[in-house]
Amino acid sequence: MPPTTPPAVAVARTRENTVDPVLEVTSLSAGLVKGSTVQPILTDVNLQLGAGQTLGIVGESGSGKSMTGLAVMGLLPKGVTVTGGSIRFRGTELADLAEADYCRLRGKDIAMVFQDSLTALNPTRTIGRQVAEPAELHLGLGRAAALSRATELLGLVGVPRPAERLAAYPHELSGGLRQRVMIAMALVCEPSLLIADEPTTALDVTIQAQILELLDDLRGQLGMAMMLITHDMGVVAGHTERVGVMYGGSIVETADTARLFQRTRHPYTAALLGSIPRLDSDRSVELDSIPGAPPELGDHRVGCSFADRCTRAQPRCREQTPELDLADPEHAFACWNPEPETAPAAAGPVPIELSVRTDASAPLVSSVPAASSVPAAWSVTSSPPVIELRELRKEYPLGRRLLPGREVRTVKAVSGVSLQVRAGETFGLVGESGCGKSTLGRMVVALEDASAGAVLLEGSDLSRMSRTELRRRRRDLQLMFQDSFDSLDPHLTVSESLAEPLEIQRQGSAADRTERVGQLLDEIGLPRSAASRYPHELSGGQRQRVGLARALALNPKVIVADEPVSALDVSIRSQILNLMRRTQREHGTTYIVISHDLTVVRYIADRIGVMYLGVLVETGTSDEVYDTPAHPYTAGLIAAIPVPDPRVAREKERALVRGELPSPVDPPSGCRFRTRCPLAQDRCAEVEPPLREFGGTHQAACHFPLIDPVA
Amino acid sequence: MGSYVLKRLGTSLVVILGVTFVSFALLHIISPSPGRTVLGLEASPEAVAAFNTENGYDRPFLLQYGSYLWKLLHFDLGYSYKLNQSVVDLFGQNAGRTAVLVSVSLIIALFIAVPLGIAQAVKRNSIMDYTVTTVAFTTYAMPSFFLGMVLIEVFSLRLGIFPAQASQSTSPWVVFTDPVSMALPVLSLVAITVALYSRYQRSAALDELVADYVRVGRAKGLTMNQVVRRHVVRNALLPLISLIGMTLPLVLAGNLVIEQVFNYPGLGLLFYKSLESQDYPVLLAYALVTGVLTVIGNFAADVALTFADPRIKLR
Repeated sequence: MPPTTPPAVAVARTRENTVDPVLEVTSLSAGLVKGSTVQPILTDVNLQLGAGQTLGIVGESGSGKSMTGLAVMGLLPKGVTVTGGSIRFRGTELADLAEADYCRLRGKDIAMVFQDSLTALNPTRTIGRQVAEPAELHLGLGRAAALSRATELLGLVGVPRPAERLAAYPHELSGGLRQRVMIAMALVCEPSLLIADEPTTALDVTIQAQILELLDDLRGQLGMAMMLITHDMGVVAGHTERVGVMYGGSIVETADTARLFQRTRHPYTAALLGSIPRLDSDRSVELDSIPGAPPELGDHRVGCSFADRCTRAQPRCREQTPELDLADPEHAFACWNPEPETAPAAAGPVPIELSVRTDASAPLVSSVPAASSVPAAWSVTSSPPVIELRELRKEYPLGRRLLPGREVRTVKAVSGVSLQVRAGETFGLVGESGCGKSTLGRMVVALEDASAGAVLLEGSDLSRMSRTELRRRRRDLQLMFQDSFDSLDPHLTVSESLAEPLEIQRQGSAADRTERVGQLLDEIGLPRSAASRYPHELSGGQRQRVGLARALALNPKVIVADEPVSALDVSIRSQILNLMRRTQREHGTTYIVISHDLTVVRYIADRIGVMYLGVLVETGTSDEVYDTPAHPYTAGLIAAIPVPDPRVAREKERALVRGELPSPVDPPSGCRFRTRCPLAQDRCAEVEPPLREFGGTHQAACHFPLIDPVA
Repeated sequence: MGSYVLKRLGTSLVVILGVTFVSFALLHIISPSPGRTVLGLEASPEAVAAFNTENGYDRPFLLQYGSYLWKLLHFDLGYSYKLNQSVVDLFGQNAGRTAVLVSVSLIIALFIAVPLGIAQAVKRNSIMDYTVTTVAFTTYAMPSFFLGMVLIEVFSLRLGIFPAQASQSTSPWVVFTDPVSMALPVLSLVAITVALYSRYQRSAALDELVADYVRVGRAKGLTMNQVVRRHVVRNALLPLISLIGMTLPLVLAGNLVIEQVFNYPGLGLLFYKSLESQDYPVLLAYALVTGVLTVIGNFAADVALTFADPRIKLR
């Protein structure tokens, strides 16, 4: 793969091309037509995009960012139509283009990549046929020629052995590979504009970093313009030249990426940036959070749509709608009372560097200081462990054994994890999807039996408890789920959901339980009137609050929270994280927070465990692990996090952890990470590295750690 | 694949054995003394006892069941004393006619229901969709004998286009040789089947139309029609494969009423007459055949699905 274009050059080229933009959207409005009324969805959207340039469109769900992309594609959902403005693409007006002409344009000159999902590709057609389809359609190629073009493109997007993959079906590929296939499909006809709508949202950080890099490279190679639609400020910071921030169907602020981040003017952009937990956030301070929830798509009111959640709102904001002031094309924002113009803020954190030495005998030196110099912010080692895992294992058999003597293959989800979590502590468990972290969490709350090893709750082994004993002790072990919509029974009201654990554990009279439900609602910040609501009547953030309240209902000793904020919008995420920390302080609950999002874990956890393919590769306080990672995998994961600061993001090296998670059916010998490790030596394949001490509570399992072990 | 087929054949045999046991036990409870049924109410108790002894009907239940199984293994489904013929012969004469009638109707129904259901899904909530849905529900909710009578009233008695009675020919191919006289039975069967299948096809296609690959296909530059033809149709047909497998015996059962209404000499009419004359060996055999068809239908559908859907692997 060719090296990335240095940012400076990219910006320079951008300036040249803004003279003749590939895409120019002017005062675009779209709405849902209902009889004679039109419910506005997009209001007065203005965009410009030059060849070779990447424009980031960032916003929360319902902000209209995807609708903007779909409007350009002419693929607005049924009932939604463009009500005004113009979309000019290379001189052609698209807003009133005939459908037949649009079909000739789509997939050829303008292509789109969507978020990866299992149904993003047709499940019953081979990859080859699907990638070749636009070539057959637009370039008039025959089947064979189109397939060879597909092979070429699959190679270009980094699919290994592309010719062999032509006959594969989508379900046979991993999420990362499927997304590469989607990109190949979009690029077959070498479009001049690529719209990428949340292209990496469903992927792990390590894969996300690789895909974003790939898109950057391809944009340079093909000289395309790219519209990158995302909710992630970090992605925008590192991969775009210009940003449009959307809220309530309008662009509220747009500027050069660097300028937008450093001299933020719109209160929404500022609040959004403030609510993102970052690796360098001060953990003792609560995250800024934006009260309330973003408006639903199509909600429309007089005045600024952000006014209700804005700390700088004035009476005027509720009466008059601010318009994007295009007087300064370099930086435009729609606000009556913008943030004061500031000088650029102080520099962000120093990115971690990973130095690669081929000489096995020499100790590896990293640019970061040794662990001993970092003071431990938290010390809870004095209290006894509430939860202790001893050599915990979980293996799932693949199918049943039909003939005696034949070995049954197993998925090794968790392979010997030992750790202790102390009372009042928050232990964060991170790792890529498929690393076994959720299985581990389910074993801790006794929803899954261990294949070997033990889970001890205050010293007593869960697997040795009698049925009745375990049933009684379950009140101490509660689980909080990711998807609050699926985890709340749609037929139960909030109060029924909250009272159910109390009923099952036979706690208190009916009146006591009603009182407890009221208390819980007060605690999580929902009005008592919410008790009679059904889950579908609540917003995502409110449902997740109910999910937390349900976990808290029995005053458990331990709450395992599996991806508690992953399904939520950025501005809601910080509300829930703050709430979780507040309730923990009040009750002294022990949390085990499982997440793929390292910034979330960094913010909420006192100690952290990094899992890779069923084993714990590194543990320590969050400062120890994040500031001085010892394991190359941890360092790679941290490096892959998109940082919401363009200066840091631009300086970042290319993805350190390459490739994808190997199969947990046949994990690699020795160190499981060696197949993806830039530092791997022969020894890594032969000997499984034990956990070694790195000072304080810091432990890591690596033969060639990035910092020196203690003794 | 091979070991899967073996395993499925094994379990199928167990299910069929279960069917034989239950139906035999039921028959034994309803008619513990076949001699009385065969010889009539006037026969002396001695004659009845002699008949039962001679034919082994006085032996213990399990022994009788054992010899029933033994006969089954030799393709002996019993003897109809009412019709003085072996059940195998009776079935041989009638099954062909039913099979042809059912298959022809099923194929015609599929050719109508599949495009209809897909068209409904694509143009959902249109007047066409509502009309077809209303008609389909009405037809489906209507008892089949009533539907048959309505068709006779309209096409035969009023319009006089088709005869009210089906052809009495003994040839199994009568549907092709005498289409006019077979029009009404075929029409009723098709109507009932289309009503059911088009509903399934509509909802299966709706599930596929919301899948992300439809939008991806549009983004490639395909027209909506092209997306439907190239991508949606095949996926929307998959759930129908299981449905066809499952309704195979149902079509036979629904056919029972239709054959009776139009007096078409097939398996259904034979069953109906046997029911009236309490011809138990025939009824038992009919129950068994239905059970076997259910098993075969499901098995065939599962195997067919593995060819149609690359996601399904047999283990």
